[in-house]
Amino acid sequence: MQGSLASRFEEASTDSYTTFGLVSKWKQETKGKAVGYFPVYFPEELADSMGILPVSLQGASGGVSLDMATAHTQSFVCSISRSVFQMALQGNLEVFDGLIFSNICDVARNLSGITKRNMAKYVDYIHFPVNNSSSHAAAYLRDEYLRIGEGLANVAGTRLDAEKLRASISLHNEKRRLLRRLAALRRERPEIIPYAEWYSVIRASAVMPASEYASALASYLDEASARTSKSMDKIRVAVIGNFCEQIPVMLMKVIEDAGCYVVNDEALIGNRWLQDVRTEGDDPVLSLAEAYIGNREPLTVRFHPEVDKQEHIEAFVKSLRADGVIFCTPKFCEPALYDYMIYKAPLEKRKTPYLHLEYEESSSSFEHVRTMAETFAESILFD
Amino acid sequence: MPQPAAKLTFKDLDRAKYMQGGMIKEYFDSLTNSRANGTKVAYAFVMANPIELLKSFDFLPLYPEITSLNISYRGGAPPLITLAEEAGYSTDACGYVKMGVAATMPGASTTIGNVPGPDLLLLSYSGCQIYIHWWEQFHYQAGVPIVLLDIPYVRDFEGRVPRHDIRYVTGQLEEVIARLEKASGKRFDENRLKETVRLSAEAWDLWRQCLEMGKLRPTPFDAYFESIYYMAPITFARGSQKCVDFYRFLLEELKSRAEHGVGPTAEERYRLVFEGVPNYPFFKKFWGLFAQHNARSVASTYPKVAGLVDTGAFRLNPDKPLESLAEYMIHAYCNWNMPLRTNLIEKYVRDYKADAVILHSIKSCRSFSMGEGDMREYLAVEKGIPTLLVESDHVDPRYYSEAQMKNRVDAFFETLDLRMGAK
Ligand code: SF4
Ligand code: SF4
Repeated sequence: MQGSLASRFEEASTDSYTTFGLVSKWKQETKGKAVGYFPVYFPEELADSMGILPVSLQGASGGVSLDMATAHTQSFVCSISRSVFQMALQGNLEVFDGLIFSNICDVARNLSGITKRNMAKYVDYIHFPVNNSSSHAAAYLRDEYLRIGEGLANVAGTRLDAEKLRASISLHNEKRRLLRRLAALRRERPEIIPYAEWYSVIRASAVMPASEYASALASYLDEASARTSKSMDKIRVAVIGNFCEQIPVMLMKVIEDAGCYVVNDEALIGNRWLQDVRTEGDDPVLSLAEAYIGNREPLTVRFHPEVDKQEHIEAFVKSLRADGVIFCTPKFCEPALYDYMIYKAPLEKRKTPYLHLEYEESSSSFEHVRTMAETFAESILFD
Repeated sequence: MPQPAAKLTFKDLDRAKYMQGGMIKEYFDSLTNSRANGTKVAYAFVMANPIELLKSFDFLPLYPEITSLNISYRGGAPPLITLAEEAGYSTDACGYVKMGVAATMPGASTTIGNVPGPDLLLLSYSGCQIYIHWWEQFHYQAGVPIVLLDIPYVRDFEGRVPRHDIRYVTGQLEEVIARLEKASGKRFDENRLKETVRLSAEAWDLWRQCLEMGKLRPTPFDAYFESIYYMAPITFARGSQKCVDFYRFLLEELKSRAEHGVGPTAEERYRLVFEGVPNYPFFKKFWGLFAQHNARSVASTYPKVAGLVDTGAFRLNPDKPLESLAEYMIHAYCNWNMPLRTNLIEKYVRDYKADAVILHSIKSCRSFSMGEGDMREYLAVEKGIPTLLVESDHVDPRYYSEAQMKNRVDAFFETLDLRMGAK
């Protein structure tokens, strides 16, 4: 990666764990506000259109101790919920004017409440519909977005404006398109984008303002596409399960070093999951809601009655030309653990090799993983 | 001269529990015989299920939470949990899910007999996200259709429910009626629904009166441990005359207990508020840890999972069956956000004049337990209410250490004694 681009992504990525210095700087420069949101998906356009910087809180990955948080939560919960809560308790999130959660799981749901009780600021919670085939779902989500919009408007001291929202939707459509192009490039030519680099580029999307990020990403894509690294004799694997708590980059490096190209994973999936939102029509809030309701791409934390996850995984593995699947599930993350059961059945039927690994965002010892990943890669290579 | 009324003992006034046991047995028999009778079985959840609708279409509801807890109560959890874990379910997954899935696996046998698989999966998504993942397991394993009711979480910290939530739930109920018509091959009969809702409303009201008997000093019943028996009919038999009769009988029995000065312990030394799902494999032992100190629960949250009837948050109305069902489904206990749940516990302490709070946190249920540490902080540190937080599991005996639990509970009562100056 070109020096200056690399350092911009790297700086933003590093800042998005515990420090959020770029957020403070942005607020000072623009006199704007900032909200932090807990994964997985948040309609950033709503905030952005009101001059609020939306920042995705992806956990501290070992950057803070979890002692205070654990006393308030429960011992048997994932690490991202605890590290975000620890940061809320000890002041790392002071820069944010509000925090937003949503119904991805029971942990995140209860986290919204205990965060509210411990923080004197705007805390809200979006109930995204799961009955996405109901004829009432889009209208419901539109009203829910309007409710959230009101909360954000109070934070910003402004009002939700249709024109500004449309402009922000266009910008975010562009950002998502670029992110999907990046995912496609890695899928096609994994040898030119090592995981650590991919991660720093996408992690930067958690914290950089959308317009700045989109133009940096466009330049990065030009630069990366022109690379000429040669493909090596490695197996192609899809990593599934890291849609919320972040996998330690070192763990992915261990998988790569064991002889795998990671052609797909779910890190920061919420930032590219939505397809294009319509910008025509006179109700952009409804368009934003419809894009959510209509999206058929499975997401573990969102149920859609018309999506067949088992059909999807078969087609997906085929489209990726993946030789195998590695399920990486965060410790204590029940949604990931149940989807693992759903996804593994058709893989077994089709004799697609898979491996299941568990991680915590702060894990730092990977010897066990190394052995498992090497055995997995070898068994496929020499099959 | 009229004879003075004979003094009745606790045993004489503990008949409702057995009546409830009979109802459960009858219910389980109907489940066992459902296949032979050609009755369609609809799986449903305890929280927020519109049983009234299912009944209107002659579906027999089966609650895997209830079957799992009963199997577990009778010591049958370990083989089912092992079966599920061997299939790939994690040790960290909810025990109910593992037991529910394993109970219908080929070769499974349970301590309550044969558990029929589902013909339909009614997914009332309220209070627990795992509900979705659980039904998906059945859906993908056996191709059973899911009929979904998405119930928005009560996310406002003051407890306000936006109008769009009610519209959304009511709208879905109308859609569900059409799906149930198709699945059952029966036409929807609104009058039948209204009658079922009327009977439900009557039972809810009697149950509320029973629960409020805990305000008496001494309380004539244990509002946690005994309520766990008493809450069963409101869950599975709601909408029937039998259910109404049960709660009428219970209310009379509790009044008689109060009159005769009897209760579940020799005396009432401590008044407790309980939060959390009980520990079913060791239910009686766990109860004994408190009963031996003559502690009685005066109020608790768990029996409200099926509906927060004592808060006035909902009232079923036969004239507005769908809208009132929507309100009922929204106000399931775990569908309330944590500050609301915590405030409710604090209110119970005040209204029921309790001495302490016991939080029983269970390992494999994040819906209940995530954030119970924060509840303790609030109640104990900010409000100065003696609060004990203990951890085990609702079904998995591997997470219960009897000696450790006993030590914690005994030590708590010792300090409570000091605090109450009762020594
Ligand atoms: S990692 Fe899993 S359990 Fe934890 S907050 Fe995310 S989705 Fe919920
Ligand atoms: S997670 Fe908790 S509320 Fe949900 S099914 Fe399991 S025990 Fe019940």
